[in-house]
Amino acid sequence: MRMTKVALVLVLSAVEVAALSAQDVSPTNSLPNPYRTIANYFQLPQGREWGSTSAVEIDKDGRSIWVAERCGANSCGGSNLPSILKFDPSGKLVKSFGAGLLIFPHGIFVDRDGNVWVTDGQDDAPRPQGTAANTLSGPPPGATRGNQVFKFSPDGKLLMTLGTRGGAAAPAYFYQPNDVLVAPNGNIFVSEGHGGANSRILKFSKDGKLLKTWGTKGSGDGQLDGPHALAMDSRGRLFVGDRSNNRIVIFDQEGRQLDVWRQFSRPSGIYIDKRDVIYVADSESESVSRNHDGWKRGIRIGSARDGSVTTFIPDPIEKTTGTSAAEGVAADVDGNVYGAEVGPKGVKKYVRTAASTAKTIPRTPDGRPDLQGIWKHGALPATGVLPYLPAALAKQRENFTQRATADPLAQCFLPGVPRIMLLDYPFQIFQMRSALAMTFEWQHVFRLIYTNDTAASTPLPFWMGDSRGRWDGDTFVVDVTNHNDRTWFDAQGDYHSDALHVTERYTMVDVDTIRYEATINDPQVFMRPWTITAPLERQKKTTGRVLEYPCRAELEEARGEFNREQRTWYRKDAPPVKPFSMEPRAVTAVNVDRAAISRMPDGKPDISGFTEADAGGANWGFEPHNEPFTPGGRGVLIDPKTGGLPYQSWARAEKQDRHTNTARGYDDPTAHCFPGGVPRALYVPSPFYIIQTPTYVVILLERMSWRIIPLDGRAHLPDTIRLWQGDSLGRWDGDTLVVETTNLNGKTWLNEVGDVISHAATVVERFTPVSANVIQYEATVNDPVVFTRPWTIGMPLKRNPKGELLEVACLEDNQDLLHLKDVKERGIQ
Amino acid sequence: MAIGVICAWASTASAHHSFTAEFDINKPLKLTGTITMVRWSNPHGWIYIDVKGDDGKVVNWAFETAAANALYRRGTRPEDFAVGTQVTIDGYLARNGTPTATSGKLMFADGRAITIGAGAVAAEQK
Repeated sequence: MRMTKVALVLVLSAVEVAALSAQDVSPTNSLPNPYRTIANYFQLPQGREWGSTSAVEIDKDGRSIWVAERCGANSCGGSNLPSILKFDPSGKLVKSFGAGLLIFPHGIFVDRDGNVWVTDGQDDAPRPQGTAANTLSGPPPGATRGNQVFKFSPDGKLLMTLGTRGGAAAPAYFYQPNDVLVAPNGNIFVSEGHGGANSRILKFSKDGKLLKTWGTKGSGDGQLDGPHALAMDSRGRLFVGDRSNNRIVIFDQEGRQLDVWRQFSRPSGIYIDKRDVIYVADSESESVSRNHDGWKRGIRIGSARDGSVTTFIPDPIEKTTGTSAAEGVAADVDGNVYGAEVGPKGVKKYVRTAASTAKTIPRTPDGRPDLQGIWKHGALPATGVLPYLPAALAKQRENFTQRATADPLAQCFLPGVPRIMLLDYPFQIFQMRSALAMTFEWQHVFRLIYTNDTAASTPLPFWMGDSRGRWDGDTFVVDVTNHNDRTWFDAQGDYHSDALHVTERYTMVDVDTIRYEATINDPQVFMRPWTITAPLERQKKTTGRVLEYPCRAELEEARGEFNREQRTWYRKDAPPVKPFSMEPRAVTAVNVDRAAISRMPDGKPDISGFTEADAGGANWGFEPHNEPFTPGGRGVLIDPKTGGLPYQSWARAEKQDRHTNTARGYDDPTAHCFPGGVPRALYVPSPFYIIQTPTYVVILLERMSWRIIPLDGRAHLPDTIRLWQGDSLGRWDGDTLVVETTNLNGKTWLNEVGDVISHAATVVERFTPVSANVIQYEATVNDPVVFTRPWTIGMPLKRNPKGELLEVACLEDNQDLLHLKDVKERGIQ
Repeated sequence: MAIGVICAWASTASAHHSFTAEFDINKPLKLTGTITMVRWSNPHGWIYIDVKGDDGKVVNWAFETAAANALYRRGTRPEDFAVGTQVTIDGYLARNGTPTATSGKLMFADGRAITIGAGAVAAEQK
């Protein structure tokens, strides 16, 4: 009997829990706190004390901090102190205004133009004894100030006032405006009701005309009780901190309810950053509010996209009956969190501890943060006014007027640093001890950043500058010098001189985010250095490759200035072509000095460094030659040994025409500065630099192009993706690196005499180190569209351990192409 | 510098295009004039000289050089070619009918000579 009763009680409990869980969630208290608290970060002028504050916000610059503070007390009534304060990122007070204007600054917002909006949540009416505020929907008689919303310029000029002085009952608004938010389209949202009989959201047009209101006081659907905070995510959803209902209610901008979240506890403050990280401050659970026991006060951090809560910064004060911990919350672009406190008074800063970062970011074997992967910039900061010297500003304005044609990127010229980092194309980072490389999808640009304690070795100016990197703790710092004066910072004509010095800082914030910062120092153009920051975000939804955006080739093909060869280029409707069956080919016998070959930690030969082909004249032609205008060539054809390339007859005729008809000189893609393709990229007469990691070999070609060769056993790209440099996959076969390239676009030539290669080619290259600084290179081309059988060329590649790449900005002065065009079009011989 | 060793085989012809299509091996020329402009650039550099013809008319000729990088690795520097300097350059005429040529050697008035051409080495071997 007794047993039965116990069982029954248990069943009832389970039903109760199930019924509750539809509305309720378990307290989210047990979450990691990777933050360290800095209590006295912000410095007030001598003699001024911190009062209560619930209003903290980040400036348009992403780093400065705005606070609206209650004049050393919990009200500015009777005080003449300025209540609106701006601090620089170091915590120094740099601006203050608003003296005598506000009674009870409560909510704050900085709009995209940098204007500062503040709500004044109370009034100065005398409160007769026994008047309970929560019975009122408007202020008691006698109020002369308060209950308004103010818009200030960044310099503190009052630009707009919403509401009447002292307040008014609905619908003449406001009474107890809590918070304000300006949507990207300029519409203004105000949340109202802090214990009074009203609880609603008001929506205004950007010029302050009331458009609509929604919400009544209550706890039901569509009702609000003390909407204490407002925030908006990147999708434009309006998050309302419905504090007394212990919930966040999410609306669209027309007031339609989209969702209700309880997992962020009792929201006094909400902040959503540009990456949709949500920060929610609870200052009342288990203290002011006893209907939310079991939930700890503090700042909860999670995702505004999926509602997950991942981090909790608890209130260090465990037991209290008053408001405690932050009421207002904000986070800067670096992820530092700021909490504005009413009870403890003041603003605290929370920074991620080094230990928490150290644990979460990947590292290379030598202990450095591992920056490798595919990246693209995230949200870009709004461009502020750059500190131009007066004379330089005129030039910028002229650039701006002519930007459609004068922007160097309109010609696909190299973008320079930092612009290349902020283009909307991904790039990949590869990291060795002595160098770090970045390969960009845009126009095959790369950056080779030496990390071997060297400085720029030439005085030559380059479009991409000269980059030398070093580690400052866990931050990768790059000094970029030797710029020419031809690149712009952006499409607006912001420019620099050749005195430019850029200092970049790369700090890994978490496994998927690098904080990027570039400080621009150019005393010939700017009054002072300035800094641009942006997050770099790991690109996960890609093919695992950086592909190609061949800017110049696209441009010229669109203009009809370059015609691909119809018989060789890839068309989606072409029938598949089967390669010739082929026995694996052994490398031609050469004397190998195994002992002299340097090796990587994993035992593989070290083929990295500055290298150039001893090309035997291959860029002119594969046969032995002694021709005008070009050095004699010993010939590079290994197989077949005689008879030249094994052409099909149509291709032999095509090659002959390219070779003998001067009008065809224009058709060579490298004359247009397009990538050489495979294998030509290696024997064009320019050096290259090989970056080698356990999983990649990357070839950086001085003519500003690259080849990325993954060694991880992945499959080739889908057949429909066709690239100038093809899709290369590598593997080690003993001490030989074997690289197979497919997915070529069939637009390239093999050399100046016009040897033919098509999209159907599979190119197998073998890199075999034979002595300390020599690699025997062989390339077998298997192209059934053009030839009757596979054939092979070979040549040594020679490494110069001290060599450095310069830069061939091939497009910068390509007058040859104009001359060749003359010959082609006018037939001048 | 180790770079000098590389030069033994490297960058003598920094072609990115067919020279035969652009210039005519059957039209060698050698002109004397004063440097008016130097374009230290890639994929080729250019030296411009004012040449006074037999009729007294001055024509500005453009001589293509090797790539700036190739010149640099050979030890040549942009400041080796001051504007106003009198030089003699040999080379071959362009096919497009303009006063343009590819270059071989550049000779100063004092007899010093620098090989500045991209195709010069081979041309001299002929």
